[in-house]
Amino acid sequence: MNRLKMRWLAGLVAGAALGVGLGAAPAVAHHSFAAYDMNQTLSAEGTLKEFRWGAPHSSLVLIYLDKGAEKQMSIISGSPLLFSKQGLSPRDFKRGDKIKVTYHPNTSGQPGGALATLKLPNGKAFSDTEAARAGGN
Amino acid sequence: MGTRSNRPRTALRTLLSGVALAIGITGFGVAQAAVPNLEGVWQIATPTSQMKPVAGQVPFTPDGRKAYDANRKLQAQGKFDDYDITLSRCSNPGVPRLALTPLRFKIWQRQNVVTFDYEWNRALRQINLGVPPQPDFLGLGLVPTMTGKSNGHWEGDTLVSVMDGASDRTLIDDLVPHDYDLKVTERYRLIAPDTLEDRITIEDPGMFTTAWDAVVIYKRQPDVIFAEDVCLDRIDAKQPAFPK
Amino acid sequence: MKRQHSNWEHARMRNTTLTSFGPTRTLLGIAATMVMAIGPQLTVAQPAPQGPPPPGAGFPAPGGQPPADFQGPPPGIQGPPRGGPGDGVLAQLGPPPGPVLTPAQKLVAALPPPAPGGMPPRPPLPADAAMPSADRHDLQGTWIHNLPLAFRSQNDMYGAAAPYTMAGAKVIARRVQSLKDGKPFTNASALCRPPGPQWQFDLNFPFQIMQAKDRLEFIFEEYHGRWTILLDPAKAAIPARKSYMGTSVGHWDGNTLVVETGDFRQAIWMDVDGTPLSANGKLIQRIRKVANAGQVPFLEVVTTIVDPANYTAPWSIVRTYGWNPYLALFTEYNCEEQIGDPGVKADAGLVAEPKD
Repeated sequence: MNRLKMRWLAGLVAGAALGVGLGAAPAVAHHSFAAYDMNQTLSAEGTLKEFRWGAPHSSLVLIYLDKGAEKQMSIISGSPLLFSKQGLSPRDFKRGDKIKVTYHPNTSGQPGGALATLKLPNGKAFSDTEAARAGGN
Repeated sequence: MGTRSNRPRTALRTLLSGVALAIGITGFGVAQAAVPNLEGVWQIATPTSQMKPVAGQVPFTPDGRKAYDANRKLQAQGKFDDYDITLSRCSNPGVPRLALTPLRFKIWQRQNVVTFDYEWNRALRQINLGVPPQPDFLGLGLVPTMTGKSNGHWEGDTLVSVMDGASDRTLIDDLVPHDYDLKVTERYRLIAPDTLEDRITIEDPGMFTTAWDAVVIYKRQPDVIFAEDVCLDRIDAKQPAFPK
Repeated sequence: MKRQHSNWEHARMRNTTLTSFGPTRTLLGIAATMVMAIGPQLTVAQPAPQGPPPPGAGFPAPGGQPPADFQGPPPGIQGPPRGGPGDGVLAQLGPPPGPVLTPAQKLVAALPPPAPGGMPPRPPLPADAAMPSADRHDLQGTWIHNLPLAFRSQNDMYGAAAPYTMAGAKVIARRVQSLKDGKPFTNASALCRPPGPQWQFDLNFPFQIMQAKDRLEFIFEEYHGRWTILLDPAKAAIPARKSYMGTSVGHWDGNTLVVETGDFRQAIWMDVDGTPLSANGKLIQRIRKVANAGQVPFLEVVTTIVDPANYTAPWSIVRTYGWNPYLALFTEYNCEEQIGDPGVKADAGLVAEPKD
């Protein structure tokens, strides 16, 4: 079973190390590797509340409907460089956009998790290759 | 651009001779010589939450006006997190709003960097005077930040800083919006040994029809150790982000 | 369980960290291994010939100069004598047994090892880079960790097992288990609060030191942290409220700044795995600037941990921080944007730690 995820940006955690260069990798891993169930991929769609770049990790917040009620989930994402390599920049993420995501859920059972793929209304898409390498998808 | 007609040039010679002694912590002398020394503890002379245009009115574009009115409405409704994540989350107020910080701040002039070290929430903002680019393995330089990227240089006795690369998650003050295209030019100079002036020029073509100026004055404060300030603890305690 | 790594991570994992020495090794073995293990990494962190010598080379007394006539293990540690008549016999018999571990130390030794620590490659400083003051009592400037990062300090700077009490051992065991369970505990760092004066130094982020006659002020990129060391506490206005970073008072002992830090607002995690320090614990930091000819200067910080609630005796760890004036320009660290979001639980994936 592969629940361990060496993923340097997933460090919500203590992982402060985040925003920081390669040294971040292990510091983040120490807490984050266990936080997501990489065997599962869930999908969700809703409204992009915001995209937060940087420390202690990048993440997006999705407003989604759960049995008719509006809820929010936080999804940890890859590095800015990873997005840039796939042709995406911060300006592509507009608050209020309708987006679709797939993600590996938090092991703790809380809504949200680690991003696998993302699709924006302008047709641009993102695939988290770091997550894929770590055994996701 | 800011008018500079009021410059009291007579003060300059006094300053250049006197400032190095003005604050204890420069005693070890790392601050660069030959330029005015802005180091010290400072505080806004006239506290205000508004960036007041020298010309009287903020020259909003229709989009700018719309965003401003929306912010006012959200403020009246108390929906702070929907427009001002400094109030709701203690997020760094960014440039230029930090210029209005009600608490004290220290300026450090070291190693080609001018650091603004704020009492409020230990916030930091820096102006680069010549540090070359460093490796950026995660692409952090690609994304906007609250304080953006400020590049500075000296023009005589004036520290000129130009900031861009700002996140759209900050405001100009407690209400005035901006977009990613914000450019903030600041001119810092000592207009008296214990008085620091910041002439601010704000440009953002999506929000403002023209560049506009504001001036903020700071008074030197006694040297002090800032107590550890943790804004999120205030939020948890249901207190305002900026202490009363 | 299987862990996957990128190639880069694999490359780093080949490195040995300071914390990886098994408690059963002899000290002499440790000494040799330590030097070998650290050397190559330092050449990555700060390429030769500028790199500092391995910290602890020759086993410095905490914060002081290495004893010139070092003949045996550090004080308080059992180990074989060196250079005695029995050396040849020892070599034939193999390594002698190490110190006997207490049940608490055995509990800690049995934990899965901490994640391997590395450092990113960093370009060497150009020849014309500004250098710090030659004054050994002037620590000003910008510094950054230049050892492989240690995410859990289970061994002291000599390689011996940390002298855990059973209560302390249970705390670190619980925290490590929480990682294995996929439900890591929350802590000051995860909540975007000042993480305390050991953690604040211990990751790959630069800090700047400003200094006056009566104090040193540190500002850190990480957590936009701040730490003040009072050199003249009688004259300083010490804030009434206890702080996350504690209260720190220092004095010069020769060329070493000896700082005692305590009076913490709450118990702290000394590292990312949660090596504990109680709110009543103390840290004694011995900080000195090492500037050898032809090498980039560095700060050596030997931290002695004094905390009877978690440890049966004081124990010490060592870190070094290389001079780097180009890191005076920090990357913005604004954890509040995410952690402060009222709409989303800030501790995604983290759970509250049970109280003792």
